[in-house]
Amino acid sequence: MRITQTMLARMSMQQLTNQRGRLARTQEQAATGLRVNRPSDDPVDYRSALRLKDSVSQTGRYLRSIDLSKTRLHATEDAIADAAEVVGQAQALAVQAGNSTNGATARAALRVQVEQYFDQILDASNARASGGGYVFSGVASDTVAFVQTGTFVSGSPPPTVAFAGDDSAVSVEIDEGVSIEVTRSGQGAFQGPVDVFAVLGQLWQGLDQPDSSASRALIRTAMGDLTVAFDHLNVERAHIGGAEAKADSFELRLRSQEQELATQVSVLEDADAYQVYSDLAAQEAALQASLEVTARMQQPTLLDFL
Amino acid sequence: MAGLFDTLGTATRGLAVVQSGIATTGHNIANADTPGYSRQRSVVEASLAQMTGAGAIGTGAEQISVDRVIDRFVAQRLVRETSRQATLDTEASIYRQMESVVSASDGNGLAGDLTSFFDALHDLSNASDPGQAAARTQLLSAGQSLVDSIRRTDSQLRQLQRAADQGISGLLVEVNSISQEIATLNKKIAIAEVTAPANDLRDQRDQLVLSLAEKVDITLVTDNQGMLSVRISGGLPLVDKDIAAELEAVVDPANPNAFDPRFSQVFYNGAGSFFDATSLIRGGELGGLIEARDGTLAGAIRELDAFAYSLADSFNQVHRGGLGLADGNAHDFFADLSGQASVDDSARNFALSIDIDPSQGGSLLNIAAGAGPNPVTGGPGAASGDTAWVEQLKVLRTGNVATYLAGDVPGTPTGTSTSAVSALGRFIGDIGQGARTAERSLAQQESVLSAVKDRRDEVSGVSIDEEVAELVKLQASFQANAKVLSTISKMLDELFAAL
Repeated sequence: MRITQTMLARMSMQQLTNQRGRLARTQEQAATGLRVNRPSDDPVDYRSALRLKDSVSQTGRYLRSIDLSKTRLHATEDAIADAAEVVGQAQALAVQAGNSTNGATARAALRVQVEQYFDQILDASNARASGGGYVFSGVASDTVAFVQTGTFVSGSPPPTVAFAGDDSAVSVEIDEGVSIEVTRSGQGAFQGPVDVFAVLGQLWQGLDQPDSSASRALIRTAMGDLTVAFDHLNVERAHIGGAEAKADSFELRLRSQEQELATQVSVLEDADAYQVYSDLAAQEAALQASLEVTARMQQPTLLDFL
Repeated sequence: MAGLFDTLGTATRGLAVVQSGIATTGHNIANADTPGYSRQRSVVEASLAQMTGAGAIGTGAEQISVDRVIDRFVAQRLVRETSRQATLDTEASIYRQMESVVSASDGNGLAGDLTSFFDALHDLSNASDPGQAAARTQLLSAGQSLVDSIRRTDSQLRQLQRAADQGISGLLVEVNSISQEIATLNKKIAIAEVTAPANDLRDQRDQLVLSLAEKVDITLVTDNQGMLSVRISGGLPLVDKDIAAELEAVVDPANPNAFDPRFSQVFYNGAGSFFDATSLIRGGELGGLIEARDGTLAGAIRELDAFAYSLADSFNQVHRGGLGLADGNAHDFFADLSGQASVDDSARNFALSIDIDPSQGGSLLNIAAGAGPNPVTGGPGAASGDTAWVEQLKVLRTGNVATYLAGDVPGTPTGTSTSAVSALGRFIGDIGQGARTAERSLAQQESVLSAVKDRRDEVSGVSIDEEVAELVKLQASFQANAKVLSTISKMLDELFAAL
């Protein structure tokens, strides 16, 4: 085989170009830490990684849903817990009111107390979530849930409270196809088996009237109804606790899923660091050698020896 | 019987032969690095012997000709492989650019914007404030970013297409000038070769043929006068003896492949005919650019159109089922798509016109997050806290919907049922696959071409070692011939002295 100078030059240039190309690719992998830097590096893995990355992002959003749901659940729970506490206090007051030894002044004081309980529960039932929406208004979150008609005036019937919101609970999706209710139906919670406001009104009326068998009967009925309301509010709290527990369990599941997905993305995309660095070292050495050989090979011709 | 003067003539001719040998060697050394140069060889024969009674007495050497050392088969392969290399190089370069257009590793590309859009949708479903003004604004701007991203991708692909088109027009000018030069050289060679082989002119012509082969796929025929006829891919004569045909760029509004009516078609103008030869041209850079413009890039733009249409249409369909806050009307989220003949209707440049429905821009209230009329007021708009319909829209992220393929008529999608993210993944993945294949074919072709070039250099290349050895040999030969001359000269002197 005849070997000519142009051949040698081209061969060594080609070698050098190829080696530099390989080195550049390895350096890119080392710099980005990624094996797949563009679709053509591995079209199949690139596609899978694209889908998985979207899933990672989606899972992140579900985790956010859970976070926000919990905030809303807490708002709901706080309101119901407040109401339950007040109902509990009203229960104690009703026991005291049932005692016939109370004088007119004491009864008036108790009456004022009941008025305050009434207001407190109304406040709780019109609680607002962090975003400003009424918790117990269902989807009509900008509508005041409970509207009071009339005021407490001695000798007149007590005020009434009507539900004005949307009587449904709001659901939030916390994973694909899985939802939890983050609020409770307002009417169901506060006017469910017994209307808390009406019961307090009854108690107030019992205290407003002079002590008689009729007024004692009112207070007694109210006492029984308050127990029912108290138990009911606690059941409502339990529902919220249930939803929260569900959110917690999904949070755990989603977190591990997120991690799992991230691992999969990394398996598809990431470069094996040890492999990259050892490749880098080997390719650098090879390039060095080629450069030296090329430099030596280009020099001598027969002329050097004549 | 030969006389002393005859031998004197033999020595003189010997010196002349050696000198022309040295000239050829010098020429070779001088052109060792000239591209396309083929080494030359001085052909020497023993001259006709003098017949005498005592036998045939030699009369020395004479130079017959100076030949080029070439391998015709290798030369032809070189032309063919150079064309292929140019085509694959163009293809790979177009794919590389397409790839960088459709994929962005920093997550701000098409795929990143699609993910952000669905994330914004997710945030809307989480919003607990009445009216969700912030989340609605966010969704709208994410939608706008997605649309912008699709438009940007589309317009960048179109820019590549336009660049290819301009490349085609530019190449035609070069092709014409090269074929003109070949025709001129043909004439010169025919004239020169009446006497002797025109080695250097032929080398020049071969070099021109190679640069022509880079531009377009050619086949060659040489006639007995040494004139070279060049035909392009379909057999059209580009150079016929000393006449060159022309390829002209003609703006063709009727071109069905072009999205842009300003694209040029390649018209053949020669041998008394003038017609559109675009579809006949396959190889070389020209063939590569035509394929890129009318095939690869046009296909990618169509696919992007179909993707954008599928996404917008499926989203709008679900969106129309929900309710906004303001009224009970069905609203589109993306621009109204009805009235298109096909999803990639070139007249409407779909991906360019995809837009957030003006009714969304006018009022955030028209985003259909609600599932039904406000239960408290009775409607017609949805309640301020109602985001139930967003769940239906969210399904589109991973849920499979019928997708459109390029050329489909609105209403009858023929694509496989897939999610938006998968559809985008396929679009980008296909381009990536194309880029990978092109890159590999190019790498293979490079080694094929380099083997052919090596073979050419092995036969025709100048080896300095060889030429120097030749020089040493010729020098010795010159000395020997000179010695004969001086010997004869001395003998004649002696002869004259004796007289």
